[in-house]
Amino acid sequence: MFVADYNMIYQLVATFLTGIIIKLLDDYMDEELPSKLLSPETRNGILPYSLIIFSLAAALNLTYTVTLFSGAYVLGMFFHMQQKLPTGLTGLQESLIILFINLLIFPFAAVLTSLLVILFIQSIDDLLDRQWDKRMGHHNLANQFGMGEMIILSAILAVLLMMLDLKKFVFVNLCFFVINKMYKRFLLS
Amino acid sequence: MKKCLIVGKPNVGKTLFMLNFAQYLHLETVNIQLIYYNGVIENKSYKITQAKELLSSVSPFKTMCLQVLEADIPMGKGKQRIQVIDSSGLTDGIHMNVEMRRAMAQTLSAIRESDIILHLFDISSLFYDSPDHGISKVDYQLAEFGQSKNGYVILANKIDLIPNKRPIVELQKLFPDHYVIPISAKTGLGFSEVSTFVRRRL
Amino acid sequence: MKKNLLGKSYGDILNMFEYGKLTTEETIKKLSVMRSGKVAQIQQTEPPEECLDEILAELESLIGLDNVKGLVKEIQAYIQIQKKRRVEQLAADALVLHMIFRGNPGTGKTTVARLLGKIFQKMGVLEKGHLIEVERADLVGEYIGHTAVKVRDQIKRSIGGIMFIDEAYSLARGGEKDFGKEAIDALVKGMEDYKDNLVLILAGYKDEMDIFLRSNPGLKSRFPIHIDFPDYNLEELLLIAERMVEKRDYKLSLSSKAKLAKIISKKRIEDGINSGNARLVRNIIERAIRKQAVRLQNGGNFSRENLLLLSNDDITEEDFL
Repeated sequence: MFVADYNMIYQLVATFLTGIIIKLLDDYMDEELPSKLLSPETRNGILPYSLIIFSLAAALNLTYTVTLFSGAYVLGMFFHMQQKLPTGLTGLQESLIILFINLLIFPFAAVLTSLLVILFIQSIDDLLDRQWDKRMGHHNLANQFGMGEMIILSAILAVLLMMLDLKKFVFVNLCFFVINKMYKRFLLS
Repeated sequence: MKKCLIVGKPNVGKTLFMLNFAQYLHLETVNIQLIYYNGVIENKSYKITQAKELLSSVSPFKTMCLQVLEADIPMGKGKQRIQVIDSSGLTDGIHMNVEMRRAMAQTLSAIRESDIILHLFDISSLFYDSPDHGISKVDYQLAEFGQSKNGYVILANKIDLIPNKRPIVELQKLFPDHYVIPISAKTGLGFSEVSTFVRRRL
Repeated sequence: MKKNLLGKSYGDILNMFEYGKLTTEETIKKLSVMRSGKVAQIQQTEPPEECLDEILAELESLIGLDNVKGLVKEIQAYIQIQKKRRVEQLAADALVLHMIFRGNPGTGKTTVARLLGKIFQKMGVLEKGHLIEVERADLVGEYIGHTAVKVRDQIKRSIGGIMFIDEAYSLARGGEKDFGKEAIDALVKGMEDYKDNLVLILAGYKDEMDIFLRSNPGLKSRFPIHIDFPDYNLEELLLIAERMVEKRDYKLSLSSKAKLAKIISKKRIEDGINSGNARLVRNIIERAIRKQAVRLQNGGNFSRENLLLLSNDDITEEDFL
């Protein structure tokens, strides 16, 4: 497993690119896209560049990309389950359909571990952003369910993931960390 | 349906804010449901301009019942319907008039059931002369209550009447843990920030 | 209904606010405390004081009884100071809180006794603060030994609270074969045995109580606190009627208020001032509510205004059978 082969490199890069897309999507949904990106020159580039990056990631490793992105999409709907969406479906319905399609196409383990690792990242994120989110009114798992509960959940998820797919767990966490660092530096530049 | 309650001292501009915010959300007529303390419900329909004249006035307790307005807020990929609730002003101490007390009790009861609390302050009347900055005990208690509540925000209203940003900075200093949005219910300044906040909570 | 540590429900707090017993800011504070159980835990030493304030506020809100309120405040202050003195390791009096209540029926004796029970409980003087009302029949037996048993039973019921003996002077009536005196002796013994956790209140008509105490000199020294309950004047009785009526969401029309005043004055002249006081008012009001129900049913107009209003016709002196 630790022998570097093309497969693993593709997986890592796919994870990294998908992570960038997920971050962009999250910020877009929260209306918190950095103003740098919203300048008239760059604004119109967001959609096309996201799509091309996403398709490259999918080319490198379809399973990782689609399951991770779907996981992020579904989790993003967590606090808006009853909301009616432009498709005419509720958040819950869309989530279920996406999960179903994922399960049809990809192995169960792949879908499951992607979901869990996204949840893990979200839990850590929410634990760290507790104060800020509370102040600004963002939905936050730690504020909603309690700090202790989220810590326990994170621990359980970590253990599960290490048992089920250590590689994905490590890759995703690594990319998450790097992407955040890059993002902060980008904001300050 | 999610509920968004507007609270504050009398005459800070709650009713005007509700109506202008409704207009901002592109409502032309408002269906206002008046809920009296004893459960009586009246439904009235107004054009926004009409409603503004009728419901806003200088008398401190003009709003003696809960005025509920339903609006669609565009959010995420779609839109969501919420209730915006205007309340009667809260005063310190024990009010002599039992009708006022009942109206206020109704407001206090609604606080617990609301998902979002918009706490309005009249920033143009604060920080001049008085030792407590013109902030009532009720305001302080509400802010403390807001610590434990997800979805509480302070709206510093009437910024169209202040010469510079100092009062807002002072207010933020008094409530460092809270999000303070400067707004003007009259001119619509700050409404997009409020809308963003409300949408986040939905 | 959700209750916090203190057993107060959300609804109770809002009720108290509506009745003008809590300030707006206090109400919000209590509601905050209710939300975050954690806060309530940290402030465990505070809540008892808060509750005490509510009870004292309730006392304040009673109509008339100014001397009673003053005395209760003094008692409360005295207890508090003795507690603080104990904390400072100063000599503190043992608290002897047995009382004599003198007044006509319907002047609020039982109500005040009940409140005192709660106040004492909040202040840590009594364990439970409940009120046990007893009369002669509960204490006096028919044969030898019976009395002691009866008194002991009542004392057992009252431990941790207040034993309220109405028409206490009746214990001294009866001739040689009467066991009233035994009851008094047994009571005194009980007061000694449980002196840290039992308060006795003897109540009754002023004159009779005075005679009773004079003929039992040993008793007088054991009841250091004497409170007089004056008769309500006409104004106060009308206020009581209004309160009663408001509490149940009714309203008295001007003419019904006038008629009420007339009836009360008439009764006071007929039967003497000693004519039932608040009880008389309560009876009239309850009768009025029943009469209004009949009147509305016959009339058929159940508008909100009509449901609220008690009119002239509803206020009557006696039941018409």
